[in-house]
Amino acid sequence: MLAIKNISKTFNTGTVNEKKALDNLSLTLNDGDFVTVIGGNGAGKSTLLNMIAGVFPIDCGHIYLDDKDVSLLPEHKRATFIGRVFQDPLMGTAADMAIYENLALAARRGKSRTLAWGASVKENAEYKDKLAGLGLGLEDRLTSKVGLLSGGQRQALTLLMATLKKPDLLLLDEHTAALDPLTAKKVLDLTEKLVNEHNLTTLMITHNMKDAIRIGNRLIMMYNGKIIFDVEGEEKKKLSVELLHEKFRQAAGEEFSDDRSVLI
Amino acid sequence: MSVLLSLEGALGQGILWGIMALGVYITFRLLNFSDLSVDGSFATGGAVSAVLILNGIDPVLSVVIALLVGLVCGAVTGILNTVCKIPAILAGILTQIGLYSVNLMIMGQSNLPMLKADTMFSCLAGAISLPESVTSWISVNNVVTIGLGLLFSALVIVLCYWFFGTELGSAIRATGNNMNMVRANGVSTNMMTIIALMISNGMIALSGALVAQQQGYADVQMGVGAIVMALASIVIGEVIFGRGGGFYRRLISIVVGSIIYRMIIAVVLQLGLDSNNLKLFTALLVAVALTVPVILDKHKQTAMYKRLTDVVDSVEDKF
Repeated sequence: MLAIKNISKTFNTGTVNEKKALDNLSLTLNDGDFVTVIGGNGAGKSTLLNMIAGVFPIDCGHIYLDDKDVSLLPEHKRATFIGRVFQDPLMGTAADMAIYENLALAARRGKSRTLAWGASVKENAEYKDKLAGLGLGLEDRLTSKVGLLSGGQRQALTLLMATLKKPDLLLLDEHTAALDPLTAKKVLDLTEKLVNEHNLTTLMITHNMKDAIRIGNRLIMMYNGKIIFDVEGEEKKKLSVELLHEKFRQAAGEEFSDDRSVLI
Repeated sequence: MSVLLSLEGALGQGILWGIMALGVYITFRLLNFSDLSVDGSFATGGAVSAVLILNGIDPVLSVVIALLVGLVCGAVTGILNTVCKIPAILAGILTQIGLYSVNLMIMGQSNLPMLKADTMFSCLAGAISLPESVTSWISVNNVVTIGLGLLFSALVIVLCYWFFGTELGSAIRATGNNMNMVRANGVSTNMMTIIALMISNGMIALSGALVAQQQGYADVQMGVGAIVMALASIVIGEVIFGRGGGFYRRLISIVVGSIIYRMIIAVVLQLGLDSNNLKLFTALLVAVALTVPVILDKHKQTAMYKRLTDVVDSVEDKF
């Protein structure tokens, strides 16, 4: 379970470029919630995920993961509980290392690194199984360097890595945005499959409103560092893209006219 | 004959300095960190070993202690970079400059001869006797240098091979690839950077200690230009063996690169190059060795374009 209480983050404080990225935001996710996050550019979606992951320190507030206060923990310690997939397919993997080495690194997420062998033969059989599940033929290329894979393959691999050791929370930051439509769909289907399989609590940012409505059991919309719309269950299923635009207009008021274009 | 002798000397020197190049390889290629503390920590290794030997400590033990001091040097650069957030190059330079004074403090003077003291090399050379049929070709000193050099470099290569296959070593290699990924998988990139710098500088100090013992003195200037020599060794190794292949091959190619570098130097000195111009020569050598693969690649690309375009043009009508 994730609980966020009154967190704020301002970038470039005290300059003309001051930007309030998160404004006294609170959010609680129940176990097994699959939440899609939408909002225009600069709404604070990525900042929210980065704050939860610990990439930058928060200005104030609390972040609880499974009732542990992780507000001040460094990024690598929070990684014990959190699996992440980035927007940039290059960011989630080590290009010069083999597929099995990347998986072995991910399998040890949150464990301290010892002088034991980095990847055992026994593990490789398991990785082969899981890679076969991706349906990309990667199971026959265990020793290939990840740098040789395509963006879609790397993103699928990163997704597998993020869920290899079951995370308490999965953070997906527009992880299909850099992929072609077909590959994006494949990776998205895979995401649903993995999340359902392991019943993962998930936060997924997307710019595709249809996906945001179709996938997950809850949807939140952000604007100017705040959550302006939060809907779940049956009510979410009844949403339409038009309805979301309407909701957005109500919540954001007059300013909406400027932002309509980026939301479609 | 004198060419042969100088080549034999170069072979031994190349192997001893090759260990230093291996240390630089860890930061330069595996961690992707341009560590300039090398020049300082190499001399530190020599200084520590020389002072200990002159104070009656066992030469082998002095090498081990030099290695430990090298670890500390690396930790300093690592902490400056990760905790104090000083950029890599500047952090290395700060350590290097600071170590110059530290080395003078350790030695008490700028040059410390060990002519009367026993080093590993002089002990071994005194203990073995070779038949004249051998010594007419290669001196005992050179045999000992090559033998001890091979022993230590083999040890370092095997340990490196093992270490970078472990969980910790894998995490360090990944840190050199993609820090975001490493943090997302629960490893502190700061810690990995510090550990890698420690190991690297430990190996460099070890090499410094061996070189000081072999040449019979430690000098505060002995590390000047070491980083360039290391890069020359790495690059020459890469040009000859390529950047692919297994890890053993990569490591061995660096030592071979170091030997070839020493031999090139020995030959050009024999041919009459003023030793004052050596550093310029080395700089040019590294620049050329780095440029050659780029030009070859470009050439290959152009040749392929011409070949394939000719084929296409011969089948279809030209525009």
